[in-house]
Amino acid sequence: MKPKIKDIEINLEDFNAMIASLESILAHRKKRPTTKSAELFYEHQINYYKDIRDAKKNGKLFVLHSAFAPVEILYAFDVIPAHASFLVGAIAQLTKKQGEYMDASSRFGYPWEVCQGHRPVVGGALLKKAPKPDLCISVQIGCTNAASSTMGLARAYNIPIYYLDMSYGGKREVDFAYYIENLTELIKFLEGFTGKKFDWNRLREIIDIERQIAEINLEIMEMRKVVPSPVRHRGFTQQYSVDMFTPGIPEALNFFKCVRDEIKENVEKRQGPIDTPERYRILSILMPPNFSHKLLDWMEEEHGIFSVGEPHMAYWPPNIKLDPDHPLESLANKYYNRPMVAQLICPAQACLIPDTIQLAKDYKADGAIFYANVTCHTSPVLIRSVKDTLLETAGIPTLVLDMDVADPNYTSQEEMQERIETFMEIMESYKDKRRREGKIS
Amino acid sequence: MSGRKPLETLRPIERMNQQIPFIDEIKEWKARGGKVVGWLCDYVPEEVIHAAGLLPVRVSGIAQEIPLDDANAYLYTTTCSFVRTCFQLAYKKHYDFLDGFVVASNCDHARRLFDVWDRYIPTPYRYILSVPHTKLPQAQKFYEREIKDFKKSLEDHFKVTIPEDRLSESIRLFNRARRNLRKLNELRKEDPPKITGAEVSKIMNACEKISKEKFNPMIESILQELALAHRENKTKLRLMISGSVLNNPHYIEFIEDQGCTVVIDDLCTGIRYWWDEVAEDKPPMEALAQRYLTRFPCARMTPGEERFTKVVEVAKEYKVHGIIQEMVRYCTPTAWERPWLRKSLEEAGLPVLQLEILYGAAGTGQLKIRVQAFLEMLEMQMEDL
Repeated sequence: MKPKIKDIEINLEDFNAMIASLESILAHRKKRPTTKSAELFYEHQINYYKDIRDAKKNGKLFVLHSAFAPVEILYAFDVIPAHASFLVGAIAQLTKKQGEYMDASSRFGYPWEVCQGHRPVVGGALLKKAPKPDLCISVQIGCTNAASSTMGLARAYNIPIYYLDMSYGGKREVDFAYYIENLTELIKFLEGFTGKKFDWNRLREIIDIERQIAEINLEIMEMRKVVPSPVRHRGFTQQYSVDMFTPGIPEALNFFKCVRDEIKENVEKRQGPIDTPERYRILSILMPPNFSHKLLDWMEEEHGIFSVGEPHMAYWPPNIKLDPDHPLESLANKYYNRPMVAQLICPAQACLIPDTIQLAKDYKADGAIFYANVTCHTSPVLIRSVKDTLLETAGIPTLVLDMDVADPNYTSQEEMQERIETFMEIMESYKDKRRREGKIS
Repeated sequence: MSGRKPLETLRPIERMNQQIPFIDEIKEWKARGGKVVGWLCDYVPEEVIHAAGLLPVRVSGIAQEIPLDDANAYLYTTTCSFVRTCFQLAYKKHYDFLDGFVVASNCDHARRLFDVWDRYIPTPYRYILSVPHTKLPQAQKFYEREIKDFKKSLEDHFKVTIPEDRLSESIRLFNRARRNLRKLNELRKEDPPKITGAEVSKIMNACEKISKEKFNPMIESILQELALAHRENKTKLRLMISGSVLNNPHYIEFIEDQGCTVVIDDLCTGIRYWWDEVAEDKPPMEALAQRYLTRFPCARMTPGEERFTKVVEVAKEYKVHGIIQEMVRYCTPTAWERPWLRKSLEEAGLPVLQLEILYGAAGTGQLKIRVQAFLEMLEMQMEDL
């Protein structure tokens, strides 16, 4: 039976419980310190969610957007943006209610085909547990699931939605020009919606901060080439989140400076981030499971497997030009080149494949793990292409971990660990082969 | 389709349907030295391919479910079964006759099919067209540029030129086919209709596989025969099939055999192919971009509400009693719009049966029970009225 949407009041109990859960994680971190950047990350997350919760109280408009919306423009309008899938996904995950949120969407009629990473958005809205925004923005980034979840929420809440189009093809001049035209239209729309004149100076300030972050990202990428790897697995997931949620704000810049300094210290001391010595250097392709970052810790701590390159999450090509004097051009440059979007919006032979080969070579990878999210219809399709190419060009093997990014019931952490242990033997044999061929010492 | 006299003019079309993908007409074209360009998704402007002197042929599967072992290995098991079927056929060399392959960036699956085809299938010419998701003026301008680039690419690869007047001729020829298909579909408004959904599906298959020069006289003969024919049809229930790709006449026939006639569709292999014409009084490139972006939308286009309204309007125009909402397994755009389209249809008083199929699959016992139960429910509603 379908839920009667009108009969259910919006209930922010889960949202508040999620913030409380993050606060307890932060308290735990402070009690047992790891790195300063990890603390900053959780502080940053808590502030982000509190701003969303308190938007109305603070007289601000709240805009829920799909992945990789140009949040910079929303900041320049002084509205509060939130990434729909991450926000509602985090509420479901941290309150351990994924099942409830998924079931609500299934009952309404969303079939299994809908990506589990984005499905909670509509489930949360149908349950009236997702925060209700004033406006939604749906961006076509080459992932139907990402763009569509916000549409479902807008329909469930009966609120206006703006569609921002990005062309497929990627890094061509025509794509940039089309995107800039569409950003200009978005700004006009938002001027009407908010009743405010767009603050171009504010946007320039934001772009200038992003320019500094982009430079830091390049420094980090350069330092990560060092053996042993100076970074933990969790590091790249945190950097990815901060840039995606809150690009161009001073807190994000502070976070990236902190990360850079921590890595620099490890590089100067020629040491890894933990005591376990590095044994294998791997590429992490697509996204590791949200439900188990402990898997990443286990790889490092138990087996010395360190992720050294992540094309979808941490690969910032050196040609991203961010110029405060050309803010819209800068946004076009950023959003067509940034990790994840670039891989989705470009043909594989123009982006994911060459970038992955380059990473494998530059970062001396011993193998790759492809996190195949079963309900993702974009990236796992390229498993065979990536696998064949890495073997042919870099002589390294790829492990495919079939899993559901949000649901431990599909593949448990233990099952993935077993597969990884077997894969270590395979990496070892390929390493031997490359040694015999004189390709590595 | 019991108790109905077969159409004489449908015979060559029946034969073509048996031969898909490499049908005699394509073999003859190739034997004369002609080149063939396969296209996937009907956002690809076929007129440009035709104006280059090439034969545009829709890439599809065949009217049966096939083992997808290679496609599962090279793509992914949750890639839509239509895309996997196309790749499987190509991998097994059934599309070796293609000199080119053009994909519209319609959905995640089609885009990735292009990537994998590009890597593993040695079709000499491969191209992907970027299709906007809106029909706003800037989107139409962008798409016009895309079509111009596509034209240039075809000219460069096949060493041909595509003059404007040739393109205008192609537009007129394809519009003639669309008008013929509209006439055919007008006959489906009759009660009872003179032609079944399965027969129309076969005609659509032929239309998308052979040259329009051959297709137009063929469908014009069918229309003439239908005008004079008396065809018995005892079924009263009129259905619409809504979904993405469905070019399997056996499947539609199976549904009709349960006691209904499919009188219209909302499919890319149906109404979305012929509903809108290209303006003949505008510069050809501009007219093509406009037509292809503003045509009867599929689930990929935004905002979806425009599509929901249109589907409801068409269902009412064809006086359907119910709608089968069909989803090819793993089709992402259909999956996301599915509950909301259903809501729109039901709010308009149109009952819906949702079915999931693996592309190419035939009728099964379970399907039979579900369709029969739906038809019984519709009959009871009719009696109540």
